[in-house]
Amino acid sequence: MKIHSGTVSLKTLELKSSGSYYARQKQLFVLVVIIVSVVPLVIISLTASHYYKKSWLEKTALELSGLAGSRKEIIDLFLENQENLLSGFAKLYSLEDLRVQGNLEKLFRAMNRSGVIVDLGVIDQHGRHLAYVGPYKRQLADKNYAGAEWFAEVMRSGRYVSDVFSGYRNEPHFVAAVTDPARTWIVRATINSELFHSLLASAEVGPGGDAYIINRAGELQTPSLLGGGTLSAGELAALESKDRSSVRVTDNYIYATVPIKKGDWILVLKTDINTSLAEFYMARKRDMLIIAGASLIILTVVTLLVRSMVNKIEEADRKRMSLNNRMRQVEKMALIGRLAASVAHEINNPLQMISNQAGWIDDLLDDEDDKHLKNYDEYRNSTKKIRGNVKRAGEITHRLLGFSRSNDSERKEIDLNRLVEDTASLLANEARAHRITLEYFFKQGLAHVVTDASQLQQVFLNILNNAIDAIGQDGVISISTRDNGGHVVAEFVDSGPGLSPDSIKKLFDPFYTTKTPEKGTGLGLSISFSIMQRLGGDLKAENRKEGGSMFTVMLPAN
Amino acid sequence: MYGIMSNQLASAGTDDSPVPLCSVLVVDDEEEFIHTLLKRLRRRGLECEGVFSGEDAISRIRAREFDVVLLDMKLPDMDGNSTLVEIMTIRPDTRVIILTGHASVNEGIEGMKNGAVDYLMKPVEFESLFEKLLVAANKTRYLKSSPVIDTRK
Repeated sequence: MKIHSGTVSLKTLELKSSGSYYARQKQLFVLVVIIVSVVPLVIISLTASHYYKKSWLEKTALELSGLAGSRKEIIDLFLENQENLLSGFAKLYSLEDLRVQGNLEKLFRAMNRSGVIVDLGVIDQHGRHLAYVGPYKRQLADKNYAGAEWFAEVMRSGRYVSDVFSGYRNEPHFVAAVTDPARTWIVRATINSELFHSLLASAEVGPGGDAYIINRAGELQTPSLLGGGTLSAGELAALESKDRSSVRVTDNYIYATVPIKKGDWILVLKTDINTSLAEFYMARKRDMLIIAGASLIILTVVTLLVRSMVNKIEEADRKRMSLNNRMRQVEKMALIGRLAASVAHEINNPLQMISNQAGWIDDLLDDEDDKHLKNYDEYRNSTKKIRGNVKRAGEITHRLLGFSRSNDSERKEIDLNRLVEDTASLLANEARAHRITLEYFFKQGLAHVVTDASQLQQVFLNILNNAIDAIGQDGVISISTRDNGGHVVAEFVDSGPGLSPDSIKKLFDPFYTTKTPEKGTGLGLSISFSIMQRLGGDLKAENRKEGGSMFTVMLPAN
Repeated sequence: MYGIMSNQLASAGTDDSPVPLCSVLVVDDEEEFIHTLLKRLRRRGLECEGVFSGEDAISRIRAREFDVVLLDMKLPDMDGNSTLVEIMTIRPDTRVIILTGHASVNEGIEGMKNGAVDYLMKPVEFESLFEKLLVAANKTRYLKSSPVIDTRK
């Protein structure tokens, strides 16, 4: 038991000394709850967001690639058409037919319904213009193409489609040329490349997207939709793999490339990731806001819950501790009571013997003749002193025995106000001598109390005596009574210096005293404490904020 | 007061006065205590005996009548209260005064309920003990309509 209570007190000290213990508990709880609730939420959201973005990009890239494929088909078909048309002419007509200006004009009009063909010419195997229909007749009439690269190519392979160039006309165009089967002459058409532009513009690559055609050297064959005349080095690097259809995702763009015109050109579709992901970003932002909101709510709720929980725990701990302390005090008093009783008993018998022996000497001295006994008076004096001291020791042992006196003693109904006042009046003279004022604040109509009046009076006397000693000179002792639930309470407040921390701890311990040995035995308050325990009440001492100490006597009301 | 009383009683207790004031049986486990007490009581003219145990006390009570029994509550063989009950059964008129070093109020009350007339706690001053013995003895005698002494002076 002793060891147990020792442990408790150690723990108490520990808890009290570290006031931040409960604050740390709160932080820990909040942290744990956040880790197990908010963190998974954020992880799930981030992961989902990541995969959602990835799949969004994949889908966009796929769409872009599909778009590029379909554009390629249209463009290739267009180019092939032009080629086939020209090659059809070359097969259908003879040079003699076509070199006639009128025939060629008729042909030009027939094939140029769509307006894509700018001009049409017939060139012999030496590169000379034999006939020409179109707006640049004057400039091209004497033109000899023998040295032109395309001319050599068409004579070699039978058909040729050039890159886009501005030529003499300062308009983007390209040339398609086809020889007759015998390769003796050439039909050549200039085709307006504006058509590609409109073809590509109709590719829906979205805002911030782009569509253009480049040749193998990376030169733009159509203007970029965004208006750029040339491609940046970064963009070219992004288009590295020009040989086959590919989709490439960079930080900001998705590129879909597809070779057209038998690999001479590359169609590039480009879409701005950020623009196309705008919707996704919007959704993600909304998700983030929701998560942030949820986290905030969780955080608030958890903080509030934890605070109230830890506060309750703290409160419970505190109550338990104070209960423990009181239990220890009660146990201690009981133990000391038993000890004191047995010691007192053991001492009382020898005291009785000493007293008897001294008395016997007295009896025998009665027979002596005081004239003949030299120290007669000294003997008398000595036995008197012996008996006086035995009496004094007897008083102490009797008081010690007060601990273990159980209380079948007289219980009757008392008027607490009256009892307090009567007791205080016993000390009125002493109080006046020390210029101490007694003030009473009695509540009328207090609940009835059935108890041992004389023992209670002893308690009041002890408290009041202490108060007077604590004040010394000049002060006030105010005594109030009140009802408190099932208890009747008397409070004794003094204007003294209050209790030292050491005193508060040991106040009710027997033999603890701050007074000189002549003035106090250190038993008064400990006996008072055990009396109050026996009467089913309680005695507490504390310092008041306003200064001085307050003793509270509580008694169960009947 | 002590001087007057002791002188008066001392003369009453000397050998030339054959009639004792009253008879007392002292029951206590402490031999020394009994010896001294008996010496002092006899010196004051009381006729007294001392025994050290409950059994002896009972056999003495059976053997003869005492005006007063001074009974310690802590005896070696039996507890004071059963001794008291036994005494009161044998001789209901006997006045019993409890004298004990024990502190128990309970025990005292128990004793009073069982017929003891007084309860004294050691150390007790001889004068007050003596006075109580006389008062008790006087009452015993009075019950028997033969008061021997007036202690009211």
